[in-house]
Amino acid sequence: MKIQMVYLVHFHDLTGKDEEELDVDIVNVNELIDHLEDKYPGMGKLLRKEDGSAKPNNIAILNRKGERAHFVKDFSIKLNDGDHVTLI
Amino acid sequence: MFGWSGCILRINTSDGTVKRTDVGDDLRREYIGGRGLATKLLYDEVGPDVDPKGPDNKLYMTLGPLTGTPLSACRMTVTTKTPRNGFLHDGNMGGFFPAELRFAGYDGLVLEGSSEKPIYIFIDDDKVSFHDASHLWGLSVTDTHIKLREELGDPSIRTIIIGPAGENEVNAAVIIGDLYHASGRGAAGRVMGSKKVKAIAVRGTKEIPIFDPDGFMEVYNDFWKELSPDDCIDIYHRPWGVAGDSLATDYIKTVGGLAVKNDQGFDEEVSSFNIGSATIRKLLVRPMSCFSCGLPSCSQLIAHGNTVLKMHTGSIIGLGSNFGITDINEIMELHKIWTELGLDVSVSPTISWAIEAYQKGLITKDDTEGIELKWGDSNIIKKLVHKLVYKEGQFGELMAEGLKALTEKYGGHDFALHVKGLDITLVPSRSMYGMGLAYAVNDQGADHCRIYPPYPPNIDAVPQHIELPFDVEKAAIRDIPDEKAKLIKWSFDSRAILNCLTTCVFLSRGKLFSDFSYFGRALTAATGVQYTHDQLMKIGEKICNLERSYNVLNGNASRKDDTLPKRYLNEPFKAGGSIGMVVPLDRMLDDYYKERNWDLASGRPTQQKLSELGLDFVVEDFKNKGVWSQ
Ligand code: SF4
Repeated sequence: MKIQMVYLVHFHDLTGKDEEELDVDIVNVNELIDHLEDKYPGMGKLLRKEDGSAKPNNIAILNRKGERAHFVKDFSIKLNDGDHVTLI
Repeated sequence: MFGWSGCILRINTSDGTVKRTDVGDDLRREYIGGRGLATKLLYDEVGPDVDPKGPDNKLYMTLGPLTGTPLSACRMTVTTKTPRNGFLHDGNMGGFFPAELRFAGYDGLVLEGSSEKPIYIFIDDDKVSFHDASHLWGLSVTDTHIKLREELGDPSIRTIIIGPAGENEVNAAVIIGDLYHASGRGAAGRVMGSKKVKAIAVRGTKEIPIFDPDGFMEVYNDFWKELSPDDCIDIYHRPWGVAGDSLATDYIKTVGGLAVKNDQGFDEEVSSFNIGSATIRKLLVRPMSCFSCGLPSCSQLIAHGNTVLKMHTGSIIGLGSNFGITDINEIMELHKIWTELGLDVSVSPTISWAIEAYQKGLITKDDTEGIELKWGDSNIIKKLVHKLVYKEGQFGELMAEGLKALTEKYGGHDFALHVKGLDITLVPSRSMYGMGLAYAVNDQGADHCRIYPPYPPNIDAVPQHIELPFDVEKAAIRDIPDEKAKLIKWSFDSRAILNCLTTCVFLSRGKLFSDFSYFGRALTAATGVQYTHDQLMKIGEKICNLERSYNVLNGNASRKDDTLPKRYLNEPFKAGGSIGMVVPLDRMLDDYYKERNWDLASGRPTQQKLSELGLDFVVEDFKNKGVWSQ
């Protein structure tokens, strides 16, 4: 599936990009983070605590067409083709 | 005396006399300083019979016992009775002037009377002198600042200045501190202009006496440990320290709610507005903080041709997307013009209303004296702002008064984005219900600073011993009305405290967001007077009740004033991250008055609440005026 990523501030510094389109074979946000960690080592540490849950001082916002944007606190949340994920 | 200086400087601009007064121990302890002190002085001294446009109105600039200490304590409250509607107005100024005034030995100053000719005032520790400012009248803020420094022979003197907007007594005129720090958009610049005071310069060399220096250093260390960028549990603290508040544009755009073309909610245009923190970081020259700020880069100097600007997200949205302008260079140019004129950027909704009204046929070229109004053209905006500041023609006069005056003449109330006559600052209300309620019940009008940051504390950062009066998880959900009244009451009360100290609101991150014992310990160490978390919260509540009471007595404020532009109540977003959202205000308003123990029908404090807070003098005034029998 295709996921539109937006990287802000230290996520921008880590990736060197403002945004990119990913074409990935994943199911949920956890797998998205695993993919990003492979591509940009250090990404996982910015987003996850040691127990794998979401860190309270970074934000991932999910935008999906026709739905309201929401903060992703549970990384098992499913992703759809065309979703936008913004990392702040 | 420790912490406080014990001296308020009263400057009579009519006769050039100066008095040094002491407010006394009781008032100091009860109202602390800054906003609390100014509110009490305004309540006592500027009553219903005072014309806010006349010489009997006063302009208070008050500091707190922490101002000038190294705890981001760089702020000053600027308070007056606003000519907009007779309500109380206060602004909060950062930068360097407030600390310098403290070093000169004052807890604040009061401008009284009205000079016959333009003057500027120089405060040099104990010496206060008046100077002719005829040669400065009409000059831009920067030119005035440069000339003052030359004339006074001190290249690092601190200044507050009004531009032509203040001189011409425009309602949206602000006071600019040290070139970059604006304050008092509720017409404080206009009141300073009505007194013919172009500027105040200050030089201070005194020390602030601290009661318990070791204790103070202990709290100081605890503050900055808690605010360490790597450990602080707050979603914005770290990114804010890198990208400054331009980040808020990215956030607003992502969740939906970026104001486009008078906040009409055009989603396709939101997606094409690409200015945000990445743009600003590319232009970064160097970080630019206020006195003693611990954040590396809350705001930044950015390159604009061969000069620099300090620009906040308010300008990116207000002077960019809200006018349909998408070129950063044009936005920077407008920002520069605005600042030099001493005009607040949040007058943007007055101008965007004019363009929408023109397009809807409510106003014509006859009204605008030949200017065709359309979106996305910065030259048209420049012409309009010139008309507004110099009150050119009847349309210019009306714009200078603001949206209330414009809509009384032309209609178009439903898309006039103001509350209580004060233009919306474009922090979105439809996409954050808490923000919508906060705008509506704010005694100043549509001002976001009373609740900043506009979200609840992170649950992981709330210490065990702190019991917050709301469900944090529910309060954080932006599109349900639940818990918003409790959150907003708590936010208003707690921000009031920070405005008394006077520290920056951006200090309230991590544990400092919810645990005010940090601030209590700092106050106690500085002054020797005991302040606990609970005491401070009560003081905050008392100030908020006194402010509302002032508006009741001076402007007949009631529930009818606590409302939002119709656009935010009736026009849902058709797409984007806040699709379908409009503010469910009535339900939240009832909840809010219940939380405050205010009368549900009138939105006014009850006798029981006022007495509980020790505001018996207000009870008497309400009885004498028959407030409860109306
Ligand atoms: S956080 Fe920003 S506004 Fe606050 S003191 Fe620092 S620089 Fe000034």
